[in-house]
Amino acid sequence: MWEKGSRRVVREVMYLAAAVVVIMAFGLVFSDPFVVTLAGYTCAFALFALSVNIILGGIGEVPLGQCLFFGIGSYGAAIGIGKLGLSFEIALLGALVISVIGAAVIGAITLRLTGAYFSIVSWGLTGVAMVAATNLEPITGGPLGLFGFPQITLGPLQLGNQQTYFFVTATTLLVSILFLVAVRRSPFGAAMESVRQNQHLAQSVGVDVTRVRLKAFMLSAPFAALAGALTVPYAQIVTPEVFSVGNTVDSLLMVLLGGSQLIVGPVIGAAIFTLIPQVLDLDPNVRILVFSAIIILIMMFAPGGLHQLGVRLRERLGRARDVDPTR
Amino acid sequence: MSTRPGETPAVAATAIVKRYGGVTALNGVSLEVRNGEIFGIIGPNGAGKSTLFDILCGITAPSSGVVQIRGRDVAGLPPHIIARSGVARTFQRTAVFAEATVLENLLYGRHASFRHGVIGRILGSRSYRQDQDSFQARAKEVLAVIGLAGDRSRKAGVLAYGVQRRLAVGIALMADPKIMFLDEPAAGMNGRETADFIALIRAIAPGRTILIVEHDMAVIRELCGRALVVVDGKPVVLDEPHLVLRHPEVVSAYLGAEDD
Amino acid sequence: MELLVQTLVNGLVLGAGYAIIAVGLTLIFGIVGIANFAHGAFFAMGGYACYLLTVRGVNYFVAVPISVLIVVVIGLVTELIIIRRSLYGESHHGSLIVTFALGQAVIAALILIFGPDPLPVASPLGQSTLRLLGIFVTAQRVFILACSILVLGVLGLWLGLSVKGQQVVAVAQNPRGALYSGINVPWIRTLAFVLGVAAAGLAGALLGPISTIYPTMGYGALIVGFTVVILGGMGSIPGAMFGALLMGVANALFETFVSVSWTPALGWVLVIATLLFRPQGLLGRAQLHRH
Repeated sequence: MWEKGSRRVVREVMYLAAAVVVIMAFGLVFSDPFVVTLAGYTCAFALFALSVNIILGGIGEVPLGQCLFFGIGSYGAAIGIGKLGLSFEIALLGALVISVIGAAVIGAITLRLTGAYFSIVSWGLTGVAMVAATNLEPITGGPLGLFGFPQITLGPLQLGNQQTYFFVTATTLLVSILFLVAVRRSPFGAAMESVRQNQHLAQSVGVDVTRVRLKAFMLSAPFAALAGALTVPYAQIVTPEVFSVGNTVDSLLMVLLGGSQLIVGPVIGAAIFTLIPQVLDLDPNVRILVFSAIIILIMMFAPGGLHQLGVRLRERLGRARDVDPTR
Repeated sequence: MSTRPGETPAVAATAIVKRYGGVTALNGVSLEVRNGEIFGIIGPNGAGKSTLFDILCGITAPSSGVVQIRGRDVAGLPPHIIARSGVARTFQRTAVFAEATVLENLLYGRHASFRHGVIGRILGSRSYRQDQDSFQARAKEVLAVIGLAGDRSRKAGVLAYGVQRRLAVGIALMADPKIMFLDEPAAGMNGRETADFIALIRAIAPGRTILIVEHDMAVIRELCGRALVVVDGKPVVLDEPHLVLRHPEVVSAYLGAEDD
Repeated sequence: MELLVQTLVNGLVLGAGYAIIAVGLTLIFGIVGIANFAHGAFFAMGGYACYLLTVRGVNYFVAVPISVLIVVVIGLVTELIIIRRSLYGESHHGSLIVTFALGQAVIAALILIFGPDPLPVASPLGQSTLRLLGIFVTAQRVFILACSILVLGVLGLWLGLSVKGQQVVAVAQNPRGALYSGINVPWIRTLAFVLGVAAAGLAGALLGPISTIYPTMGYGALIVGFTVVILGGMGSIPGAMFGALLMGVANALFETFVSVSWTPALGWVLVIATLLFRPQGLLGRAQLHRH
């Protein structure tokens, strides 16, 4: 991780370049608006999965309530542009700030205790949020939600245009990934890893475990809120369903499938699990049932996801070739 | 070994009592560890020595009594604050970061003192480079001392048991601690590994104060200047190892406890 | 005054129902060492099993134990196949994710099989009310209270007096030590898990006739269960019972004298207050170890 590897830098720049090329190609080649906007939505939801993984793969807690911030992002953007007449940028900023404050409060109360408390309380709060969103009709539009937004623009960019929407979400996703990679390699990233792997040992080498957890949680919240806000141009409606457990199940599956130890793992999972349901057109309950079953299978047989399977495969192939004992 | 009177002991405990529910784990243990000493704590299983250890390094608070590290009261201080004041500890179980490589393990031992942040990392700032260089230099030294220079890229979880324990010492060494607490470091080691381990501790001991909780009498005999015996939560004798091990109460406590 | 007494009695009965759920959850947490996010699912399965049986004409009093048996079997299979594998695996949070996913899968399955609408469970105690000492209590509620006292009493005696019960307690206090004493720890864990979810299933069968059954009834049980456990102290059975009574009475009082619609929030307020000021709960262990 701290080893100087010019080979590694070159490899990473190539990945980055490839990603940019793929994004450009995709946006310019595909003309079917449905495909393009779906891809945009996939990028936004992948961002949400990424935020879930900051906690799950990052500090090893299970954020069952992460869709709380996703919903804050969606409702924040919707209320801002729909009810308050603000610009999308301002509404977005407001949502980000609220999400960080929310994370600070929830985290301060629950993160010093057994992980289960954090998971339960954050999950319970999404239930409360859903009830609140359903009942506070003047603000949130009640069970029918908020819709009928004016043209959503981000600066000079028209998010109503499919290609623009895709480029914006894809770029946001890419920049977020780069940022999170940098965090992972910073001392804070090392602190998170050490806490995840062995919190007692981490504590004994000077890491303030609770503070690291809190900071990680506060870092993850705005990404979730951003993702929520970015789904608004696609869905064109925000209902209390945004706080539903289905989003939690989806995001967990995406993270686990790709592999929680790979930063881009959630993106791989998101790509698979946004596209497949579109093709199959599943009843939402069948979807939850199947996805939950897959999660259980993954946890039983390959908890590290595709990433772990790939590593194992490489090791096995490497062992077959590699006879050098002095390595 | 400094014996000047009036000098602040490295670790001092006074009348430590620890109660869990109805059980009294420790009943009035006091000790003083001098600077530069290698001090042993021994006793049969369940005698309270692990509890004492946890209290001495600040992980648990005593029900009553005072613990001071270098003259400073540590009761109630969070473990990471104590760690940052130059105290390091190894653990009996889960001694290393199993999913990380040897080098990463050493990194985790040191990163709490890094001064650069995420921005510095991205931009390659000066503090980043300083941290990098000082880490690489220190890691090189420590790897040489613990004898794992060739294993820096191996995952800690696949290392042999005795090797993991050496790594654990290495992690503790990264912050150059003045006081080290070693919790049954030689547990489960064979004769050869134990001998290597003893040599390792001897090599790193100069300039540090080391407390060892151990079962293995060879380790205590070879390394410790003095040892304290704790039986049923009470201190029995405090003296040089060869004298302690011949003490009649100690002998009967160990012979008595042999059928577990 | 009469209203107060009536409310208190209702609260006690409510608390008795909560207690069964919470004690089950505590058993699993204390001995298996996991926070069982599927607890609500087993509660729901108990209710639905009871429905299936009574709809086919099985007498309610027979249906209840059979429902519990069904839940026992499902719980056993679940523990052996799924829980063991994910608990002793590599990740620390494995059991949390697995039980969560399990719970979601069960709810989805229930919706697909039975439909999302509430279904009634017929009990011969029906609508009859008894009048005891000047207070009205529905017969079903009396039945719940009686069952609760009986089950918890038997459980307490079993834990305290029987060999297996003692082993369970030993595993809860010191799993390593228990292993060295020759106790078959994995099987004790299985036993504890099955007992725990059986309790949840029993509660579901008992509470079914009072408020119809519906697929998401497990959520309520799960939240109540964890709320009570947090209040009373995670890992303490007396704490769970005490917390259950407290919650039951508090809920009843709040609902009657303050406001009905805000009552769900009461639980959350109590939880947050507990976590802020006494995180180990009212009767919990002083040091909350993070696993």
